Amino acid sequence: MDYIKRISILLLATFIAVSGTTQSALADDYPNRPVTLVVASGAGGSTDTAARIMAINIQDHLGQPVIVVNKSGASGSIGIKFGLKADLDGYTLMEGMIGGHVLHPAMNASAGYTPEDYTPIAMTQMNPNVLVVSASSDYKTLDDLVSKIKSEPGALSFSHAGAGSIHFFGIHQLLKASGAGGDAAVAVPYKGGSKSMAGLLRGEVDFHQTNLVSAYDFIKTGEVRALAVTTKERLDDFPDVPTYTELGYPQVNIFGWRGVIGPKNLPKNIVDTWSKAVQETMDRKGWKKMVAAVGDIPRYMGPEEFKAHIEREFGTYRDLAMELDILVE
Amino acid sequence: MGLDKTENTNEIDQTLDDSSADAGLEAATVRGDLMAALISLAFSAVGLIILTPAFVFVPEKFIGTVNSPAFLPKLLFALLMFLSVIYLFQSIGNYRKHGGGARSKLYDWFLALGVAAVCTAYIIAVFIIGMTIASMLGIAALTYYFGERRPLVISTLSISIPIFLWFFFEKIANVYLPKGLIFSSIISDRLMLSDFGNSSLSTIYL
Amino acid sequence: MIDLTILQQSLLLIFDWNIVIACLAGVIWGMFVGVTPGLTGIMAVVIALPMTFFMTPLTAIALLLGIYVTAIYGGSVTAIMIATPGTPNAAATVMDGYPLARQGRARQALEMALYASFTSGIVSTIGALVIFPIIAAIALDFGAPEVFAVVLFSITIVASVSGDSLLKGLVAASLGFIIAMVGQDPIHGSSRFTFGVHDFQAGMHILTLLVGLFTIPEIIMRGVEAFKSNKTIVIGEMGPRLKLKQYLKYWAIYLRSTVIGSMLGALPGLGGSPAAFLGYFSAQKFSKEPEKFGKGSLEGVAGAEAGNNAVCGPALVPMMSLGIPGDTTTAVLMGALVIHGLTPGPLLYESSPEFVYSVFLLLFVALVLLLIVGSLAIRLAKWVVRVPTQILFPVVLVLATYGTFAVRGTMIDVISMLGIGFLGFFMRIQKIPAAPFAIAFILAPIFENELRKSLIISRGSLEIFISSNISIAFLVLAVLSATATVVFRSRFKKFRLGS
Repeated sequence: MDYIKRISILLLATFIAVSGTTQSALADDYPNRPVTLVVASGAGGSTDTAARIMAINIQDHLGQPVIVVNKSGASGSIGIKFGLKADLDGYTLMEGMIGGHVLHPAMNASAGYTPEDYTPIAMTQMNPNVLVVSASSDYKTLDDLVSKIKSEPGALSFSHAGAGSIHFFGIHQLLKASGAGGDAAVAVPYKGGSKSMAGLLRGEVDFHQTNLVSAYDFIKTGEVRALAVTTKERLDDFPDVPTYTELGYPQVNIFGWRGVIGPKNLPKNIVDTWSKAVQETMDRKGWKKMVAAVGDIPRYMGPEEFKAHIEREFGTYRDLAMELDILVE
Repeated sequence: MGLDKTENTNEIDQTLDDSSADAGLEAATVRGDLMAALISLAFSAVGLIILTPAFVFVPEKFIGTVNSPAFLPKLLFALLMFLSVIYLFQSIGNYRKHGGGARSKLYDWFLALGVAAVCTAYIIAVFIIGMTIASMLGIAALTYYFGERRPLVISTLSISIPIFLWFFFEKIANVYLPKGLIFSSIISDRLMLSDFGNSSLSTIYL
Repeated sequence: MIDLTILQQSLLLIFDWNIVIACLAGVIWGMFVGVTPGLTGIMAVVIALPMTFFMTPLTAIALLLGIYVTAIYGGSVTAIMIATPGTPNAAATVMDGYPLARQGRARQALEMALYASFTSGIVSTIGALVIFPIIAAIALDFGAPEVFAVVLFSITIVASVSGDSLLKGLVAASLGFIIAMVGQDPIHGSSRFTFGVHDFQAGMHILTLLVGLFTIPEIIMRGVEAFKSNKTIVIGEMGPRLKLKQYLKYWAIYLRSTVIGSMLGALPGLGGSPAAFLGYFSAQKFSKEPEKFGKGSLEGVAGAEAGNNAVCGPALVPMMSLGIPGDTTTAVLMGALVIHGLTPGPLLYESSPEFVYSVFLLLFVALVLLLIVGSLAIRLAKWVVRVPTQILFPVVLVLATYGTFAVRGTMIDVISMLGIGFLGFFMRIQKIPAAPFAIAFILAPIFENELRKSLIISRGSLEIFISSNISIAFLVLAVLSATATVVFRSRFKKFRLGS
């Protein structure tokens, strides 16, 4: 009797263990169980925060909870590769980030994936990039900085969070657009955006370009000076800062973005359900407030527009990487 | 298998310090030092000559500079080689002076190997039948191997612990445990052969 | 210095039952997670994070700080009881804590760990509050060359106290350093020693290494022992309580470790585990009985534990003043604040200093609750000590496997754990010490990073290392420490193998 009881407990346990693998049958009533949103960077970071903001708010519009799971490492490729392998039932999606989804594969031919391997669903927010220098430096305008770079190549340095990060590519866009060339300034890598900013504050580097949210505080307190922004119009918060377009460098247009991305060949009905839910979420006051608190600017792009944008970006940065000869095979 | 402990549950033998039964295994012998020195010498040589050039990708700009990704590895392998040579000479010197030292019982080594083998088998089982089931079998096997004989204890532990862990990890912590190659899994992060990439020694040298 | 009116305001802010209860919940949860091997403090914080969205900012921070502070101690509990560091911070505690448990003095080890953690936590938080601007300045003044000098100095200290044989210690350290090279090169991103396995790109995780290094060999040893004996073996008695006199005797150790931990906490990038090891090694250096270290010395436990909890307060300083998180846990804390619309940074400090102060005050609350809950936990620990080895260690192996897997969600980590475990086993047999291996692994990435970054900044010139007083100071200290080691040792022991 004891024996039989044990076997049955064992069988029950097996059943429970295996039941985690069963799929949901019908795609019609998607979603009918919680959805996992994979964030390819660490908990507490800006992408993770954005994902959590989306997760909390979109639940009402999807009808199911959204659970954020972190899988960080290797510039996002660990988490993204995980998301790409997911089943096409729409229960595992990724928080899209420019660094992991576009910049990293653009720079790394060996990354193991390209934009062909995923389905962009919707862009949700963006962050303009702003070029900053230390307030104690002599550079009052972009031209001051650019002329110094061109006249003394190798004299100035900039900080970035790793080759292939948004800081890195943004500056290289500037160097290329101004004709200075990729080697005109020395690139100093730091571990992360905030440490790069600290490097600038410490005077270890001369300039830095980063997401507005990272530089915001320091511009306001006057520790750094903003020389240009990458958006087409001037920012509301800093109306005195000219745009790159005004200054004659419209090609410097990189900006951070976040959105939702799914694995390749995701069925259209799932994409539509999500993009609709995202649009509704973006109308919520709560969402808008949280996103503003994080420092991002809401910006919606639907599946087709988002996909086109990503492909354009990927092409631009892949070409840039090849020109700079930093493409990792 | 491990000696049956269940009859002697009243006699609790406290292990007081490391000079107990396994002192034979744990005592460092000169012979062991010799082997260790040789192994680390070999390892550092292999590292310097084969591993670093083969498995460290150096962008063209940086070959040979201090900033090269291969700089520190080479430096370290060289340092290790240097230290291994000193270690080797000292061991040889000690060997000449004191002899090889006591041989630990081969039996002890077999036992250690046995434990290691069971642990390895457990991990391989995780790949094949998934973490939860493998843990059930693993706990049962290991407790038996370590000497537990009471079937009630073995079965309770081997069923309850993996279930509790499964519940905690999958439901609370949202960490998806491997489900094993046998069950076609959706989201588990099992190691696929394609994860090993295309590199092989032949492609490096040919 | 502290502005007393602001301090008053912040005190009022935290006198709210919700906050205290949230903190208590955090402490309990942190203790539970910290004690379970393989579940780390970060995991605990991440799981609790969604719940904090619906709380007020201070309540959320109270909860998270409770987890933060307690998980560090919880990891030490498992380190002492079953030789498994629950968190990387507890690595240095295993070395003396576990032998103490095996000698039937588990209780003293646990209590020492608790009281040392509490003491250093309180002192360092007071320090952080009082000399907040100075610590904030440290975070800014310590650039790449300075941090490199500090790390170099740390490495020389480690080498100087590596057990019986300096040579073996150096061999171990070199191995640890080499293993740390696996992964992506920090500057260029090119793969090193990844053998095409994708999951090696991020390198080996510290917890994988520590569990492999300390726990697996222990499991094998216990297995051999269990096999040969036909009596039931248990770890031992809990042992006598720690006497007040014993606690007070080590005031110098607490002080030293607190200073070390505070400094390392304030420097973003370094954190609990280097602080623990350096606290441990500094205790050994100044101890009257250094040979006892590694075999069950309360001083070792005190040094390590005081070190790892001393980072909490100062680690919050760069976060609150500059918005630079010191380690991954502080990064999560930052994220929680950001969601509530409170972005830590200079603006926040200017506009709401009382909020910033209250965060530190909450740290005090968390530490007091840790003391209470920790003492309770020690009572419960006596059940673990009575569990027979043949049950305990198989379960430990399984828990270690789950935990190692859960850190990054890949079985590659589990395989690495096993591999390092076998290596650790052989090292242990040949008395090649594990501690230098571990700390070399921990410090190697920082060492390399800062070295190469400095050279990039200086365009290849070595002058940068002597361009600031701080880096000169630490370089000199490093040289002194290294020469002292060689001189001392060759006088008495002359590179003995020490078997």
